[in-house]
Amino acid sequence: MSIRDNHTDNAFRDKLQHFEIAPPPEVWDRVAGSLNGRKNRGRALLMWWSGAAAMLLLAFVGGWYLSENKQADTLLMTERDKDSSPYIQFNSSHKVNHTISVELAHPDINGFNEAVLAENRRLRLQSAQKVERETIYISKMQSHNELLKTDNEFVLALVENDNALSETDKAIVEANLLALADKNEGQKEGRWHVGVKGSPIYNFDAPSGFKDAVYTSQPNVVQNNVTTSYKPSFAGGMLFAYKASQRLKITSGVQYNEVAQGASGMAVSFAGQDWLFNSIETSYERTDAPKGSPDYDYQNVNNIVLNTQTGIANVALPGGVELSSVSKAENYADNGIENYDLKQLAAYVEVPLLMQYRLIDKRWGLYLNGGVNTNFLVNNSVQIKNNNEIVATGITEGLRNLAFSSSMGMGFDYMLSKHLMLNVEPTLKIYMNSLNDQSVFTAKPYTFGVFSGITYQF
Amino acid sequence: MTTIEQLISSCKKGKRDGQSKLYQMFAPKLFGVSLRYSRDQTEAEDTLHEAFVNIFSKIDQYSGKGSFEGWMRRIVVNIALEKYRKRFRVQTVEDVSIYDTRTVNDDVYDHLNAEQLMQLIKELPPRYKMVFNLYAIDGYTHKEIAEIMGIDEGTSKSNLSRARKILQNRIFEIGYLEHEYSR
Repeated sequence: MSIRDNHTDNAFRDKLQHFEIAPPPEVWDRVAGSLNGRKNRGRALLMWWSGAAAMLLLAFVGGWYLSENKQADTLLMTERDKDSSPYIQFNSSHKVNHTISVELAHPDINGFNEAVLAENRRLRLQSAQKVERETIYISKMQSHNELLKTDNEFVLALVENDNALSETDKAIVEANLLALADKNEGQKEGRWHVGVKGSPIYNFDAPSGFKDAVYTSQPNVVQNNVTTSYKPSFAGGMLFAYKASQRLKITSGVQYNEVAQGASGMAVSFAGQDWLFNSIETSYERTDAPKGSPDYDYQNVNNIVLNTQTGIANVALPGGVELSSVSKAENYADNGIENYDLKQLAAYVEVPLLMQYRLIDKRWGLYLNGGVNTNFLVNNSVQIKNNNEIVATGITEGLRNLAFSSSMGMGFDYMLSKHLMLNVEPTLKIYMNSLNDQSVFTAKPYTFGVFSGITYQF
Repeated sequence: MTTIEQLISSCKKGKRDGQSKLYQMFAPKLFGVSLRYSRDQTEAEDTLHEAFVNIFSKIDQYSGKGSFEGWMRRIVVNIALEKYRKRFRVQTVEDVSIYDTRTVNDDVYDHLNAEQLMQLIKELPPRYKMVFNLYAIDGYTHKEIAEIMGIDEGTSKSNLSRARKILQNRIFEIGYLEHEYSR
């Protein structure tokens, strides 16, 4: 460093090191403002912490008081149980005035223990004191905060009937009770479900058909070449369910369910003509059978029978129709007598008992369904129709009045609101026993439907 | 008469009165320091504001050893440097080799007052200004400067040297003008 440099440095240092200039007055204002802010922030923080600490302490003390009191109650009850004398009765329902009634034990009870009596007396007094203290404490708590959001009905009952409470406190208690009721309501919400559902259903088993044996046992059954098949039909009804847990639901209800069959393109002729039905042959009269015997029924020559998947359809022909012989040789199609339809129906009232397990329990839900259904036969009919005109009616012989099916499926649901839910359930049902009790038929159709419905929860 | 120790003690207790008195006593000096290191008046005021808030909140950390004024000055310098660092993360250094050093008569300095010298410092490129202030006026060593400014000692030295050259040239110009003017 040169002398000149040194000189420069010194010149600046001498004149500037202690150079003073008054800052504008507002700088102090800013400094003071910042210091205030700092102070306030510190104070606010302190207040926050002390407030939080006070709350915690209050909650702790509150919990301690309550548990302490409960312990005493339990103890008293235990003592009471010991000598089966009612010392203290707590009426915990908040609907009824809360009372603590103290009754003296009968001194002449066998095996009565003086020590137990003394202890009970002490606890009794202590308990009464505690209840009093607790009431005061709760009323104080009430006026400070909403800590008394409790489901302890005992406490609520105490508070509700405390005349020492101010009007404001009573109002708060009232509000809390309502809130509690709402909360309880909320917890229960969704436990019960009621809904409707329905679906077109399809039965699709391979027809078990008939066995040759049928002809031997039913002499008036004639061979035919008509093949009936299952027809789409409808199932639906009302269901209710109980939600046993978050994931498990038990469902029952009443549903209408049917198994429909049919055939078209049958040929029938009436009024003295041959009436046909493809290659049907008429039954013959059984005049030899005694009246009242099963066979006697078949003497009605105006019946025709045909084999279907679910059994023998036995159709009574209208009055005036005279059955005569059938000639296979005739071409009835040419005579324009075809296109009669056969409608065969077995209708059931179904009572399901299903378990539902939820895999996804969100607004969109996914669940598995499975269970058994009991089916009560309510309608058994066979109709021969020409367009919409019913030409002849009958029944399917041998249908069971009671049939059981198992069902399994899955479902999706969507919460429309807190209470309303839409659901779609592809379901498969399998009949466990044959719909027909005649051994020659094993009518166990499979039923498939995509049920859709709406459910209300409450 | 309140002594500086009494003021410090009062400030340590957070007394507003003591703080106010301390401020009144030292604000002009510290504002002088702040101005030398700052870009402009506004920045100097901000620095002074922050410095005093720091001083009052950290006054407990002042051990009593060493000059209290020196302690406060360092706070001001540190805050000013912090602002400088934020402003000049990437800095281009002006090449001053183009300047020829012109001879300055020593008596020229006698004619310059503090305000004029402040103005000259203010006109320096920022880093030269910082280094010159730290070294020449506030007595920091190159090692200290290198540390607090995050530069090499060599850089500090060359910055100082260049700052001096600029100042000397400016002073020469002023002296020349004044000489011409007075003629």
